[in-house]
Amino acid sequence: MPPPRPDVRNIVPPWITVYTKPLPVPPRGVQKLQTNRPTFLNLLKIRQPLPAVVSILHRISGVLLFFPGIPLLLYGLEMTLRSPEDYARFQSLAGSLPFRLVALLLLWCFLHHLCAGTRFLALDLHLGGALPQARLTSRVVLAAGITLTLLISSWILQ
Amino acid sequence: MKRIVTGAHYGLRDWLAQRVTAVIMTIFVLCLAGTLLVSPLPDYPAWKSLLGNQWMRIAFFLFLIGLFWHAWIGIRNILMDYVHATGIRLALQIGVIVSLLFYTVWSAEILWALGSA
Repeated sequence: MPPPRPDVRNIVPPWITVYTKPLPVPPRGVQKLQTNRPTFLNLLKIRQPLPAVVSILHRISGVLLFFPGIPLLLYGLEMTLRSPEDYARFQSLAGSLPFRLVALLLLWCFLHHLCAGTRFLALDLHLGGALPQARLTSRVVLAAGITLTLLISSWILQ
Repeated sequence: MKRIVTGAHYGLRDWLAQRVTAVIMTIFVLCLAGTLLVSPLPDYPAWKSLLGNQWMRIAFFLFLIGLFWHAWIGIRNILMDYVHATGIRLALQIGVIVSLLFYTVWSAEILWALGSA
């Protein structure tokens, strides 16, 4: 004889609705689940946890590295290697503000992608998967991407 | 519920390839960054002789191939996640493949147009 189950209504806080009876079964042929739950999909208002932010920035930075990152890299490589004149032309181009802004963005994309990717590799190896560590390392990755971008760009510009 | 079973045998191989290329590219970038730390911002002859070196040229080319492979897997995963219309997704994927093939040829041309240093 199993012990009597406690009444859940005395355990859960009062603001949570407890269904003590099973939910009404939809009539046959109706495939939809209960739709009286609110849907809230305003992406700008959902506050994502930090690991989710790191993850989506890993995707966005990857896309930006694919385009315009790769063509710009190859174009720059070709230009700096073609002739001394083109090398000098590249150097003067590199002094302009639009170039620097794009380069700064792509540098951050690369560094964030690298740091976040290293974190994902560690997660693949079952390192740092527990919630406190995952939160801490996502914080570290975000900070490292920004810090390294500032350090490297100031080192290049010195 | 009817389940559609696809023959997605490439999943694990691509997953592994993406990580292997990531590690190789990271090692290469760290070595290149180390080289540039020792002699920052080389002038044109130094820059050209750095990439004109046969081993450096091969390493750089392998880096770029790894980059294009890595990019293909990543972009394909993103397209599969967000573009659900099959026709549009297929068109985008073909565009990505063609551009990556073009980049491969372009890279070889850039690196081997240098001549031997």
